[in-house]
Amino acid sequence: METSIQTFIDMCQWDTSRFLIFSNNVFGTLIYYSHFLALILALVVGLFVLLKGKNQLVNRLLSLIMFLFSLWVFFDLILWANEKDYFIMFFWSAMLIIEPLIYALCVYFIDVFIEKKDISFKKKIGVFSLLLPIIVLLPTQFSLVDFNLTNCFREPTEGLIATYYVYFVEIIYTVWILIFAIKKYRKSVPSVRRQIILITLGIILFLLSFVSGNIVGSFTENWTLAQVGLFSMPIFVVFLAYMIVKFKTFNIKMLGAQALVFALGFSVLGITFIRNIDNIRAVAIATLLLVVVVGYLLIRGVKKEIEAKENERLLHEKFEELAGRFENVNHILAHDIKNTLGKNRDIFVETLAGTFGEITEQGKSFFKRLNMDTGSLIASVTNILKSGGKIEPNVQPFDLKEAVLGAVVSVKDKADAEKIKIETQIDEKENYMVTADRSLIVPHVLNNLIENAINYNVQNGSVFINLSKKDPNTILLAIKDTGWGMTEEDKKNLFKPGGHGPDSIKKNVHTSGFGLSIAKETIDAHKGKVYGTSEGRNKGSTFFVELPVNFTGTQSAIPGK
Amino acid sequence: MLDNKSKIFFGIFAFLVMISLVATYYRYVILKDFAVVTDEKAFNESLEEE
Repeated sequence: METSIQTFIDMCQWDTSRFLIFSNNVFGTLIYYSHFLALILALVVGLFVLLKGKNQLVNRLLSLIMFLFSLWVFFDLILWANEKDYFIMFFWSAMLIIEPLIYALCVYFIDVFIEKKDISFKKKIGVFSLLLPIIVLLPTQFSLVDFNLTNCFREPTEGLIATYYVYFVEIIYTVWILIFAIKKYRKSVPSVRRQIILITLGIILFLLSFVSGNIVGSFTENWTLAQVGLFSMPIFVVFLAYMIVKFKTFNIKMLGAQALVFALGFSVLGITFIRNIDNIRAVAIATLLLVVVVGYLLIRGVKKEIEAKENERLLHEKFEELAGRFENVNHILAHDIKNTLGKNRDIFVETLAGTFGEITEQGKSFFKRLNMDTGSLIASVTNILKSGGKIEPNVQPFDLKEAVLGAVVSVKDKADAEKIKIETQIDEKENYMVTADRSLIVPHVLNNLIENAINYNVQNGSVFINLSKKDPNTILLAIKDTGWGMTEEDKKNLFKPGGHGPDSIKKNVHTSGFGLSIAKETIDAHKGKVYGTSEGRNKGSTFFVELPVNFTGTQSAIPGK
Repeated sequence: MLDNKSKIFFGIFAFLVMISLVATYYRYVILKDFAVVTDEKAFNESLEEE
């Protein structure tokens, strides 16, 4: 029997391979060309992606896919070159597990890439358990039945696993990817949809590069032509480049230029070793495809960058212009308007105090009103001026209870004019000493919130102020009103600069839209919290302030400042 | 990154793949435990076709 087999082998005149992959059994240099190009590109890209983000799951998955693909290509080359039946049996088997494993990893990869998070444990089991029959039955006759020496093709006879199950699993994974992508596409916004289309297209093209070799070879019996599948690598490289740009780990133009130079160099070098003119044509067409695709992307990328730089320059000029205008407005607000308003208020106070002589009760009421309105205007101007700079608390211990009661007194006239009742509820036993910047907390938080509770209230309404300890280290201030309330839309922009609701100006003509944003900035600067709730329009609002008792900001050098 | 449960899962999975490959290598390359099918008539026909 042994002699008989050796006779058959001798008749086939197989060449003895060197280093597993070099022999005359490979009947065209095109096969070396297609395999080495794919192998080196996949290794380089895999290594590059791994180095650029080795802690990112998506980078690790992509690198693993690339390394497994390189291994698959290398094993495929061994099958082309090697004449040893036992090596062919082993490497053929190994490819039976590597190929569907790459498909499974592609399912995992696309999910992580689109969802931006790891898949659930159940899904992992679902994806990878499909491979278990292959893993378990790989060393058995269900994978490879025997080595077929009824011809000189150096092929084993495939069993059920190799003939049906592997292809079945690959179809399942491909359909899985497509269904997942379609589902995500439907739920996504237009900008994300484009990404989903490209990533899905790239992965499907990549997976097709595996099966295309088998399909083309099986249908045409032309295994040289079947190498076209591996030349789809340039498309795959484009897909990779796109994905990595999404990771924002490196410049696409740099990769594009490097890939182009590398591929062209490799192509020219390859052509010098190819004798057959048809094969040279095939290599030239593949190279042309690469140059067209990568070259187009490069040119488009450079064009976009030039446009972006031009836009950036224009925006910078615009910004400079606006900054200059803002400076002027700031100057006018600070020195002209605010100072004049301050002087006016002083005159009103002095008039009310009788400095310029006795005035009638009607006159007093008129000047009181003027005094309040001017005070509101000054507060608005102060808020707008404050919104331009960074808040840096200069902290000193002070009694928050006293500050709250002081703020209530300062708005009493205004509340009385609107017939709004202010009720305070403070637990007298508690200590409300805080270490904070009083000069910021009182005007920007207490005054702002209590004045809002009055400004957005109804006539004969009420304001309830409650001061308590949330825990030993946090004081909780709650300011509840019975007024205007907030819609869901109002709540979204509540603490944003200029974020007052569209109707708020009707209720409060002095609103600048900066009050709450500055209140939040002030509380944030003290590592506290401020938030507001409302059950809806005309159902009142409640604002809460949580302030840490011992905030360790910059200590004032001047006590009491 | 991966949680501990997933790390254990992939660890076991990789181990199974390795065991399967080692068993396949042992069977085909070390033991050479596989049949070689020959058929003189079919072989000659195949050579003639080539």
